Amino acid sequence: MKTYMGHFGQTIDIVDDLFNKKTLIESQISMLNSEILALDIKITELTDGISSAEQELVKLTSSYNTINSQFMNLVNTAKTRYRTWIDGLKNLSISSW
Amino acid sequence: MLTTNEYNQLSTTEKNTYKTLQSQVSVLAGNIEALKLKIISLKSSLSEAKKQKLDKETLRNQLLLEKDRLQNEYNNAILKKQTQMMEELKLLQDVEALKKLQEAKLAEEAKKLEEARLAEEKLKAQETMPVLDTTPAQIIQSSPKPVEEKKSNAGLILGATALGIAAYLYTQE
Repeated sequence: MKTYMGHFGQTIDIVDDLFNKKTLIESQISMLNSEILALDIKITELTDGISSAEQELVKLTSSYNTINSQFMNLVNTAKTRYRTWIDGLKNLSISSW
Repeated sequence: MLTTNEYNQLSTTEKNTYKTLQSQVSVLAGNIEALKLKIISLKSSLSEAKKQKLDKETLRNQLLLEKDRLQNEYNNAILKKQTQMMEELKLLQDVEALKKLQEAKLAEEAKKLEEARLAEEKLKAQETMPVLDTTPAQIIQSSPKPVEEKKSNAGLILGATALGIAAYLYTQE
C-alpha cells in the first residue's frame, strides 16, 4: 500500500490501484464461483452415478445369487447322483464277490 | 464344480442347463467385479471433486475477505481524497479571497498615490506661476476687453469715415 503524501495525483493513483485490485479479485471470485458450480454439477453427477451403479450391483448380485443357487443345486444333484452310483457299484461288487 | 465323472452322470438337458448356468454365473461375476471397480473409481472421482470444491471454496472465502479489506481501504481512500479535495478547494478559495483583498489594497494604494501625485502637481504649478502686485481681480479688470477694443476700432472707423464725408462735402461746395 502506497502512503498518502497529500498530493492530488498520488491519491488518485492509490484509489485507481485499489479499484483495479478489487476488480481483479472480484473477477477471480466470479471465476471460482463458476468452477464451484461446475464441481457441484460434477459431484451431483458422480453421486447419481454411484447410486445408480450400487443399485445395479444389488440387482446383479441378486441375479448372481439366484443363478448361482440354481447352479449349485445342479452341482449337488450331480454329485449326489454320482455318489449313489458309485455306492451302487460298490454294493454290487461286494454281493457278487 | 463337477468332475468329469460327476458331469457324465447328468442327462443331456441337465448338461445344457449346467453349461448355461455356469456361463451366466461367470458373466455375472465378471459384471459384478467390473461394477465394483466402476463404483470405486466413481467414489474416488467424487472424493477428488469434493476436495477440489473445498479448496476452491476456501480460496474464494480468502478472496472475499481480501475483497472486503480492499473495499474498506478503497472507501477510506475515496473519503481521504474527498477530504483532500475539500481542503484544496478551501485553500484555493482562501487564496482567491487573499488575492481579491490584495487587489483591493493595491487599488486603494494606487488611488492614494494618484491623489498625492495630483496634489503635488497642483502645488508645483502654483509654485511656478509669476508673482504679481495686483490681485487676480485687478488683473482681470485692467486687462483690455475685446469688446471694448472692437468698439474703439469702430469709433476710429466712424471718425475716419466722418472726416472723409466732410472733406468730400467741402470739396463739392
